[in-house]
Amino acid sequence: MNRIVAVFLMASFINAQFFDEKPDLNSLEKATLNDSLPNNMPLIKSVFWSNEGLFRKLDLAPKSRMKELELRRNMMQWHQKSALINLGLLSYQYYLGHEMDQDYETRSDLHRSLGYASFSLYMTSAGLSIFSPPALKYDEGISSMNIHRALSIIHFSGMIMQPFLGYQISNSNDHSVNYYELHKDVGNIVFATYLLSFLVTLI
Amino acid sequence: MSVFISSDNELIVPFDSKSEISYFGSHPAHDWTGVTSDFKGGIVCNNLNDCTIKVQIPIDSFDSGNSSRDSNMLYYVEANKFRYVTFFSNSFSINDETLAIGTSIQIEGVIDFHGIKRKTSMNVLISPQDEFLNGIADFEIRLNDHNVERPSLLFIPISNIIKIKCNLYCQLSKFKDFVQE
Repeated sequence: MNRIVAVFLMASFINAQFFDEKPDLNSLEKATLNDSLPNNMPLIKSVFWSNEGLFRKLDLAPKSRMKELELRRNMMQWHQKSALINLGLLSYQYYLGHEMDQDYETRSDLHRSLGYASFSLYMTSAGLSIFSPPALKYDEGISSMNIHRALSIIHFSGMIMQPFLGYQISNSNDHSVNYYELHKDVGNIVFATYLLSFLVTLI
Repeated sequence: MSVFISSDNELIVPFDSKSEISYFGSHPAHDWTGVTSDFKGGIVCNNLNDCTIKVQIPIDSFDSGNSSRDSNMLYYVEANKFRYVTFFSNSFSINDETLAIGTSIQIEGVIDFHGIKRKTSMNVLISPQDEFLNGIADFEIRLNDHNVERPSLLFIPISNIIKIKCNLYCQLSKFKDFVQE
């Protein structure tokens, strides 16, 4: 019996020297939501998901952080998939836009329809990312995900402008040429930053 | 890190802080590595013919250089429930040759990851490196063996096989002193 106690004490002693003890259940029970919300979460996430965030005030947030992370996982999976499909749509839209000079009449309808489709899919994909619950960790400084977010601000701004510019090309008598050039330039920026934004996720 | 002898015939040598453990994940789009130096453990010897390795790694200490990926990993391995990966080896021997020029040793043990224990075997190259005894081991684990769901990127799940590389350092002098005693 003494031998068993001695072995047990020795094992406890060794583990105590090397390892963390088991988590204190009382301290886990006392843990608050803030304990798993990163301090450096992006501003847009704070607006919706901080302790005083909009979704919590409106009681739209899941009941536990684990449920939030599960929701985030699903939303980010759909964000990835819809963004990938939209990359295909935007690529063709970009090609079509640059071919408009050659045959405006026959291609403008398709360009407009594809514009509606890609804009809708883009905003759905952006919404899935923007409104998803916060992750467990966020990088500080320059990182692939921070570059991804910075690029997304650029292509999001461009995507907001494109339908307005497209509308002005068709309906502005005096400045349609200016709007046409601006629409092309913004399209170039949107496509380039969107493509880069996709590529940095693969790093 | 302290080194101590807990009884007349037992040596406990913790790993030095320069020790590193890395995991290598793979996906058709890219590969990545997560690294940690923030773990606990060491070598425990009753005598040099009866040594064991014990390691306890906090899951959240792995850094792959991409917070989104790290966060995803913590979700899939349920780090809130299973905070650590542990490895306890079976007994192995460290002989004079190991301490002088180094040897390759087959070490078996049990990995506890995601709440599931699995026996594993690895070849460890143990050799003296300046004032340290250095152990390098490469082995693989399978996520499905530990009931870990595989995350997907662009419709494709990551590889089921995760390669592990351990680069561990202990103070060499403590083993030599132990031999002399």
